[in-house]
Amino acid sequence: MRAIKHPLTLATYELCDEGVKVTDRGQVGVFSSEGEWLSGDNFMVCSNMCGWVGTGPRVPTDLKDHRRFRSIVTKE
Amino acid sequence: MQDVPVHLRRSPGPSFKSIAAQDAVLPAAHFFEENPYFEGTQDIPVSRYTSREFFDLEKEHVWRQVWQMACREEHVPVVGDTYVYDICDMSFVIVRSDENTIRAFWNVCNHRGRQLVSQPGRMKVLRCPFHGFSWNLDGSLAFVPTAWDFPHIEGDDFGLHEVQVDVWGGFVFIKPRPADEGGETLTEYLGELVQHFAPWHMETRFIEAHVAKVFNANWKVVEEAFMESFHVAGTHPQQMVRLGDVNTQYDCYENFSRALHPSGTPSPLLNWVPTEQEMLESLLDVREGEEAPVQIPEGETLRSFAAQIGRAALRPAIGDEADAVSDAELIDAMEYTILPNFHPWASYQRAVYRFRPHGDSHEQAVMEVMLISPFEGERPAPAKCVWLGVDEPWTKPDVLGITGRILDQDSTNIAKLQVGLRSAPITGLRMSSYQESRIRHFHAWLEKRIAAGEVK
Repeated sequence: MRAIKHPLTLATYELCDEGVKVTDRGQVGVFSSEGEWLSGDNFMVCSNMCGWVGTGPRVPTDLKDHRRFRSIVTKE
Repeated sequence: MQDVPVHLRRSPGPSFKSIAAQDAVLPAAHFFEENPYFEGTQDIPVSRYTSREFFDLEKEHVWRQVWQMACREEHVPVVGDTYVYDICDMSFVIVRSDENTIRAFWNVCNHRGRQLVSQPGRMKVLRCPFHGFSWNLDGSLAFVPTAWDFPHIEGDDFGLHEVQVDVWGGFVFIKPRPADEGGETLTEYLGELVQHFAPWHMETRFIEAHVAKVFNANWKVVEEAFMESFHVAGTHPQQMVRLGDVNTQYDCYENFSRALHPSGTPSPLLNWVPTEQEMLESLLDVREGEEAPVQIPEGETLRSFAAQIGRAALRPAIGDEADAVSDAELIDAMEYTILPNFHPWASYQRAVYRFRPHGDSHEQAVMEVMLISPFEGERPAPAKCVWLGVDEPWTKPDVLGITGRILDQDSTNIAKLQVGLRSAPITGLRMSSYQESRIRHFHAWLEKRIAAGEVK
């Protein structure tokens, strides 16, 4: 599952086969990764969250691999 | 809040200073000082972003006059190395003329005006490909083809037109004024920033990644998208779990400004309180149902835990100096702007941004992102710049990590901003008093430079 909650609205954004499924207070809508409504009874969406969930590449990283915290570079 | 004068109003929630003050290793004293900018709440004219006339004023009174970052010293490590720096319709060639000297010249052949050097390279002389006129690396005339036909050329007055150059933190700056004209030195121009950056030895880094992207927008539209955290709730809402956005501290100085964004703390806009582990999982983009790759140990906070990991990562490069790097320097986002267009992040945060007009266009811009990293042992070669077109995402080259995905969110705004500005019925942009104060300071700086130039 690639779901994430919008920190302000607490709506759930979840990647699905058709696009991004957004569940907000019981209403469900499906949107494109650009935030365009595709189907369902929920029409309210944050296009940036759709983009964040709906586009990649996303590789879960360890803190040690994050830009700020990863090791220094050694010439190969 | 109504009783507080507008220039003193700040967001609810903890301040950057109060968060940093609770850390195990404290940052330098200047991080506990504030230098807010407030000169009124007047609108920023839309024409600043759409007018060719204003662009031409910037060209004349800013780009032709001020210190600006041209390249890294590592781009010209060996005698004879050259690097081309273009800004608007001007081109300059940066040359290492001897082991200890870097020079910069207008990149123009004195004979027929051809651009002298087209791409980086290593040269014994600067030779024009058109007829073969050549100049020594110090700019003096080296060779005149068919000299019998040029009795009217005398070496002394046919040298390349040299401009001012200096190096700070491994960054080569030029000022497109004659080398012998004098005026404000780079050190004077940078002011207090030199002391702020002194502990971080930016010259000891190398370019690990370098990506440039073209935007259909005025250069300031692009740059100003990276000068405040106010946009986080709208553009990067996923970051609010672990990023202080509206409680960012903004400071402005003569020729630079900074934003200190606290991290490992939730946005004051949230109406719930995330745990330390939830903030970590937000930082790593762990989704619901996924197992986090790491757990914050009992008794630690995200700030303290991340600081320990950051220090351990730095130790091979800077030894025990790592112990003195504060938690804030390791986890908070400390973005500096050296006006007009250069954004080196502080400490070991690696990111460096530069914004320029694309060619001579007032409605196209280039944003560059460099990751400059510490290294161990022999200096690695700098990464070559990867160019992206207007429709290509920052994630395409796969060298910026999660930063590329965040930049793609910013990019969704930029071209649409220019479209809106061009068609807007409004004539001014009503920016906030504090959160967008760096942008107000930037425009006041531009106005001052342009006004001073017009008076001359």
